[in-house]
Amino acid sequence: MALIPVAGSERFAQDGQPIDTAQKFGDLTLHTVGDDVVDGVDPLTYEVVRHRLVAITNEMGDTIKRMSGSVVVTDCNDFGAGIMDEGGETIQVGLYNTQLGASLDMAARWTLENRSSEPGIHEGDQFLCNDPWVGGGLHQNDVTVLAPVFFDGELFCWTGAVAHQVDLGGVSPGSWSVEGRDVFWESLPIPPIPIVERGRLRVDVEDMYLRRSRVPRLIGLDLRAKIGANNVAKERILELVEKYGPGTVKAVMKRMMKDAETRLRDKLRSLPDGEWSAVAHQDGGRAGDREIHRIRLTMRKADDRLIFDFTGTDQQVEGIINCTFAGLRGGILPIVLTMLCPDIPWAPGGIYRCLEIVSEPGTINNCTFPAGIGKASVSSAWATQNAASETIASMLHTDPVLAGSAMSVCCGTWDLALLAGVDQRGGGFVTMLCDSMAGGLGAKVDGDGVDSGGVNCIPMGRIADVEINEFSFPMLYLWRREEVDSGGPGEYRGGVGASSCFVPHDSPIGGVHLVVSATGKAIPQASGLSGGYPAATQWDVLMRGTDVLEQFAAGRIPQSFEAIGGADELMPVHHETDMSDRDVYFTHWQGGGGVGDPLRRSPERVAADVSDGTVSAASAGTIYGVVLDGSGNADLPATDARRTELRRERAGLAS
Amino acid sequence: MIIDMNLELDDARVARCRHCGTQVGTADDPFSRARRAERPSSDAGSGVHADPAIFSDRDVVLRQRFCPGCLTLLSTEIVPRDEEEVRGWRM
Repeated sequence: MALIPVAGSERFAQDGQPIDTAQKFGDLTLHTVGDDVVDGVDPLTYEVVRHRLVAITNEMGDTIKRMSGSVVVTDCNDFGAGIMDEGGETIQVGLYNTQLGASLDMAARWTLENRSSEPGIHEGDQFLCNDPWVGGGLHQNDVTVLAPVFFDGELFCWTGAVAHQVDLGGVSPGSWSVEGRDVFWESLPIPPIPIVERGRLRVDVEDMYLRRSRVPRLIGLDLRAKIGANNVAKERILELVEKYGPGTVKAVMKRMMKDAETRLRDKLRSLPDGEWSAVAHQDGGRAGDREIHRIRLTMRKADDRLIFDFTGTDQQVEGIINCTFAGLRGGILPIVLTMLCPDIPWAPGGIYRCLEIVSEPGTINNCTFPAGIGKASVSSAWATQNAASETIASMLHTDPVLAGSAMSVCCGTWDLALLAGVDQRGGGFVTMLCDSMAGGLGAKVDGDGVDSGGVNCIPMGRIADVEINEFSFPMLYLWRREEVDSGGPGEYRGGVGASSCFVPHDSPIGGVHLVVSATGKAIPQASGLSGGYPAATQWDVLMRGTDVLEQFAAGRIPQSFEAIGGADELMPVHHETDMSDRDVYFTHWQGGGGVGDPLRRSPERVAADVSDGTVSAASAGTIYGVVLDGSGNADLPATDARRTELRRERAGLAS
Repeated sequence: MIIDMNLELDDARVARCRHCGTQVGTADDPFSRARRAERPSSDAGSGVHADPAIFSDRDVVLRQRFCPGCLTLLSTEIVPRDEEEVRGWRM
């Protein structure tokens, strides 16, 4: 069935632009300061208060981790936290999931504009939101809790905490409804509602929220973690205000954004004007879809501005891979922060002033209601991130110094393996396996990408220990290891990705339910630069009916497909099935793209790669043109000859 | 001006190979003289784990551009065969 527009849904759409804080917002008085106060803050006070605000954001993250019971949060850091000014402009985001910090401003502004009169915004209130058209998160699993902070009766600023929740209902466990056609197959979005009113938790609203989840106790704990993070932030900000005065603290907040804007504009001005084009593909928008969907980006640099023009991007699809405008911003901001702003305060409110986005509503990375967005964060938002990564890195390559901050595309997407069922303690469980957080990083102009180094949207991302996963969920690992040839070949090689292989174990019902959703199987998604190859494709295999239980009993842990045995099922892009305790699942996520011509890579480095297991002997010969001798060392004369031959062969010339 | 690891733009706005000096294109059409080749995506090596035809009905290819002089590889992409060249730059 075609996507049918829903009347009235336009009021939840956001354009991402700042609002006029001089307008009336119910009975609220907004705390503001003039430019003279902002300019008048002395440098020492500025740095002290600025660092304190950064520390408060980090402490919000610590609070979320300490209170949450979800491995996705406690061990893998899939959450974000930020502080916004009175009008919602983001002053500071933490080092956790920066996609999740990209649209906290949109959610705060929408709340200010739509909730200040009715039901009102009061001291001690906190608002829950998981509506990606409004902002805050990228898909419904990203639940945001926003808190207005008042001082002396005035709305001083906002804080926001957002984390990935492992299940909020919908057709499939984990809310990744792989057969979904529109948002009504998924967890329904909740626009901002007061979850805490004047300091008291609204249990009726909490019941409404938790009732939709398959794991309400866990989600309830995460809710309290975010409320707690906001409470901590409020306490710390008010301590700061008491010590330095509201005018000074607010002036520092404004200066942080102004400083970020000025410094980014200076950096952009130092680069040549030009335009760079990229494309990002996703194979399959839902189970059974065989189309390849495209995001097209032309990024123009004009003086001190960057224009991201997505003209030519495919229309939104009947599926789960679309993202809203918040997702599109979530695709751009992490790359701008990590590649363009490593030496600039991470104050998105100032950074966004240097960026312009051209995008047509109704396309896959700026979809309209009720397009399906259940997988938005790791589909069209991530693909947007890949395209932005390619264009920004290419622009930085023109500057010998700034080129050092550029990487080719990191881990092309998230290889979703979601498990659900009854755990070894007899309780229901749902979890997203976060092992693909150890993606390969992209290569640089002067070095290889970091092997299983992470993903660039979550600087503090990490994977849970194998033992934590085995303790928490009914599963046993056969291995988790880096994989040969998974980094994109190049003069500098992309960092390798990795794989996990596991079997359900000790569930009282004998097995688990598996949801697979991972694009990049027909077309790899971590592109290379300057001739460098893309990283490997995604690869997921389910081996049915193995004899691993007997092998375990005999003291063996099989370490290859052949040793595992059973009947192999190559997993499609989107799939859902049951696994018995004899079914083994192998999930292989992507590495980083390469940089430069692989025939220019030092033969000695290729020989070392083969020795280290990051490049196969076969690829050393066919892609890198390196001939190894019997000891595994590069045979230089033979390599020269082979490379001469390969140069002509691959260019379609007779050798 | 340096464009990337392989290309530079000279004062006449000609894009040249940094390794051999051969003209590859211009600032407005940087790959106009580049040599092009298209092959099955499996030629990208063992990193392509499965036949794309298993997942999509569109033909998927390895598409590369080379310096016409020294045959240095300038760009690599794996894309649907029916898709036009998108990746590039203009100065």
